[in-house]
Amino acid sequence: MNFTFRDKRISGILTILPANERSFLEDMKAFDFPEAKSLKLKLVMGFDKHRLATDGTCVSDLAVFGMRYLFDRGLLQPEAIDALILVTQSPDYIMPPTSSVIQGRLRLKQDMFCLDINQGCAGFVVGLLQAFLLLEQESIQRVVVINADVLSRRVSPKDKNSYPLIGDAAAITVVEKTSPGEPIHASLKMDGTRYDALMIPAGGFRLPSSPDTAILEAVGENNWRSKDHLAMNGTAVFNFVQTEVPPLIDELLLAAGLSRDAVDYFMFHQPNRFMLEKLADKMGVPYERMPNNIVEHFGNASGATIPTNVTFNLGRLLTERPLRLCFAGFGVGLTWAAMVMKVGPLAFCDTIDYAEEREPC
Amino acid sequence: MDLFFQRAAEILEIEAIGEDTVLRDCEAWDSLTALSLVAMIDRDYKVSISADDLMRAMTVGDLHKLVVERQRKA
Repeated sequence: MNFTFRDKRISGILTILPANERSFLEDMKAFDFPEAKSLKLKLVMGFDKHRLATDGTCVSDLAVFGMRYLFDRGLLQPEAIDALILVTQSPDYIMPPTSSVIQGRLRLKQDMFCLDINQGCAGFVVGLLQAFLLLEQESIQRVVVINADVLSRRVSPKDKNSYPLIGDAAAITVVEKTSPGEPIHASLKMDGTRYDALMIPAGGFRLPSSPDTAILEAVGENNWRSKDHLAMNGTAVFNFVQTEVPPLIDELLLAAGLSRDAVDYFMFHQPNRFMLEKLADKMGVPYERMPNNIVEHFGNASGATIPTNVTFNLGRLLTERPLRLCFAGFGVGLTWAAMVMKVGPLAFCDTIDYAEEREPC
Repeated sequence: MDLFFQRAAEILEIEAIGEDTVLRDCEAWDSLTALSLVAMIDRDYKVSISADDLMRAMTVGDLHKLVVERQRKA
């Protein structure tokens, strides 16, 4: 389905990355995996370095750290926030919502709508969609969308198909009302019949975590995983992305009345470099206009990957001038969603490291 | 262009390499090795090799020729 929004904009984006950096090649050594093969994976997929949260760092820790950074520098006023949307699949608790935890830790006003959204790699676009819908209300002037995940804690350290490439990150996107300009267009599709292509089987109410769900099971190629761990059908997901994403972008640009050349950059979610190159080939977009270097620097951090892509690759540019960007995320659900809009000049578009300064919560 | 053979040897995981080395006879030949050759050629020679190109290339020499031809045209 297609969406159109008017008189709304992104005013700033901040990415927060755990300072702890790990190396793909080092991780693969721990699996007794032949180094020649690891080097090939690095060459083709771009796997190199990734950032992992340490010592039980939670989503609200990363989010609160980033929000305080913005408050301390006068880039965001606490009282100016009317809604707080948190998109995550690794909440602090099953209940209450982690958005409420963040609101409380920051002592934000009570006249505020807090909402958790359970979404993954499409979570940046889904979060923005929800923020724009809220901004239709008179009482809501400014929404903070936080995309944050610490999924490394739910990936089996003995699963070489997942562990060496996962990343943890948080991103804060401030969205607000603005004067009339170019409308924002979005397209979204969901297919719940494929809900099991990407899932953590245990830990909910269908299959509560127990000593049994923690038992590591052999899943082939000397990989081990328990039911408490994230499981992905890689081939199915790859085929899903290559089949569904290009027509979604066509549909979006048609609805927006824009040609591919009218888009300055295609800022897509990045599972690996290979997948992005194949997408770019299929869409006839030069690689320079579809950056694919986030996984090699930081790993795949689910919904935080698109904003990381923006702050890391376009940070300085976007504080100087506007660019027309096409975002696309695709993953769990299954969900695939895209948005095209003018972004910038932004008040801030930065990437910072999370330094441990946890407080009891 | 000696460097090309060195790089190919590394990816094919062989020590002795020449024009006549048959790609598919290498023990390390699999889809990942094939993609690695394509990625290396793209990164180091700015030449893009399609799946069809790769299918037609029998030897390391064939691949080398293709890279030289494409670079000349560019």
